[in-house]
Amino acid sequence: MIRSWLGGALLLFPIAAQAVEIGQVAPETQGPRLLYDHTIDLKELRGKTVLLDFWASWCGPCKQSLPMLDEMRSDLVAAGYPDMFEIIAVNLDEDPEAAKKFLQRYPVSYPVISDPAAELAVLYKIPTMPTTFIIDREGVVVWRHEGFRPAELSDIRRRLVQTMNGEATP
Amino acid sequence: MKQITRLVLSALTICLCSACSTTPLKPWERGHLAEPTMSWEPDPLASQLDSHVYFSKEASTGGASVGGGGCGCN
Amino acid sequence: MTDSKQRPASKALQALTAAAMSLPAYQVAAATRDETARVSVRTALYDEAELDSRQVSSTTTERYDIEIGQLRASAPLGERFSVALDVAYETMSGASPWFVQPDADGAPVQVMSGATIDDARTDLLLSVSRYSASGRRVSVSVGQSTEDDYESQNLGIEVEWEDDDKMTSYTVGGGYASDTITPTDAQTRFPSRPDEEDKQSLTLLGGVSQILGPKTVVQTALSVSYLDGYLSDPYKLVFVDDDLRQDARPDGRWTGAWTTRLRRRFSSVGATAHLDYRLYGDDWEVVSHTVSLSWYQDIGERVTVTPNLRYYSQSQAFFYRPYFRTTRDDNLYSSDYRLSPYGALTIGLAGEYRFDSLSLTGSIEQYESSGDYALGSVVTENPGLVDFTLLAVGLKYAF
Repeated sequence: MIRSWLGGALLLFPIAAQAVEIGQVAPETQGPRLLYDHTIDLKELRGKTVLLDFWASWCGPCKQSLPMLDEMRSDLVAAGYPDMFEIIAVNLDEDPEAAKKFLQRYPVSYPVISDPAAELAVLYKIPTMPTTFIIDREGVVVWRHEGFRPAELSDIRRRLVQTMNGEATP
Repeated sequence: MKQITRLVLSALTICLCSACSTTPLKPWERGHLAEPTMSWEPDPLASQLDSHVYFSKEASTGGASVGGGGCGCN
Repeated sequence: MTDSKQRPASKALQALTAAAMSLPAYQVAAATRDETARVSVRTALYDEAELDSRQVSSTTTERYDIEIGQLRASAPLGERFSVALDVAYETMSGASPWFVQPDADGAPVQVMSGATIDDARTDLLLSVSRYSASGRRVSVSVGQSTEDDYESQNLGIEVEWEDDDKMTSYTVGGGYASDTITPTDAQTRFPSRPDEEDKQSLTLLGGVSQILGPKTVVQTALSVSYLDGYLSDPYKLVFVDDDLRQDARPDGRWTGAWTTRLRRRFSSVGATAHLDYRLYGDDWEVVSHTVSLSWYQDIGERVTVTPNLRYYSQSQAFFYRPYFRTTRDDNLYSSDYRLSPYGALTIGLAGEYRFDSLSLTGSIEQYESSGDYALGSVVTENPGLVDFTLLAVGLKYAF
């Protein structure tokens, strides 16, 4: 059901046929929210910087990246960036139940959407797991980061802050 | 028994040959491969003990990895 | 699905792809670090079946019992390393086959070692791996095994790397072991027994793993070893022309093993099949086939039950006979059942129950060997062939 809903939604927007490149406007990105009964739409977040994080429950580094991104988010909110950004995680598990179990163990305060048919993953040409994008206020993809190691968090944070401050260009 | 061996051998050969023509998997298609039971040795302690026992009680040695030493097992 | 064409990456992107690329858990294309620290303990009971009293010419028909304790701890270390420590401690007691002699009709009869042998073995193996950004793993291991009468040290190195598309990975490795044996009661009770001997072995290995699809992966590896030094069993005698001699084997041995392993996930039934085959041969003319099949069946979220089956068959070494009527020109003799022609079947069942971070494991294995199980026809079965039961329980903890 989730799958068909998402597929239908994407079909409405022909722009979705092309894969995402850095410097491009992020395509319509929406999906049913895991754990909660409503949907998320990237378009509604225009005016905010968005960190889009693709992950799966079986991905080893994701066990570190999700909690660490969550911590970074709390930090940035406390540091005075409360309404300037949001993190959206896109889960690529074939079975969303596996993702829900993961989130029970590693809960995060940001929204997670489900993409079991990997339609967004194809659109964004995900090269590895996890892959993180930063999308600026105008909806332009300014940065892509592949994989995750704890030491790389500071780089992700720096890029995110630069983008919020309007200092980052593709 | 000879037939069984031959069957296993030819099955493995077919598997190996078909390996040449696989299309690369997308990163999100690797969930099944990441299942713990898909690893070469899901329970390393059990595999270690088994191979130690077989190494001490049979004439054959050697496998798919290096490591481990001998024993004066009687 | 779509868009298999790769566009040339932008400059910014090129700079990025030079940075770390991490892959999902386990050995998917094996050069991936396990990001979880783990500790496992296991205790096992190895119990050899009594020999058939009709085939034994000594008071005892009892064989070896071994109690084993195992520990494994592994953890990621820093950004790029991982470390693993394996410890095993065994205590053994019982009697072992000594020599084989003919009875009045010429049928081979096993004579067991008189006194009960008591020994303990400690085995340590430490390995450190480094994972590089390009998906390469380099592992180095050092190990030591110590018994009252035996000491073994070993070193190993293994390098693994993967193709750009992460569908194929390659392994090459090398291992060296140096062993010293100091037989008990040498030159006192048993004057012919050597008092100290040593051997060295060198192993080279090359292998390829290939992902065949989203649910199938296969690996094939070739390993070649050369063993050099004292390769006989100092505790065994051989019946030669109405005389008893020391077990005497060549002082060199080339061995080769070709191993192929297949893993396939059957997600619709929640199961994984493992099929392994090994072809082994050496210049002692032993050729063996090993086939094993395991079926890992998930039952709900917490339980996995694994029935397994292993078949083994070997031909005999060229200098093996149950006993010898005449002397050999090369002075090589062995009546060790390990070098005799036979086949063996293992039937086993393992289970795992998972709490959140803790799992309980248990297994039982029954091994039975016989001349009748061999691929070729065995004229005279060695009376010392072993049957055993292996019981184990364990705990695994993931941090």
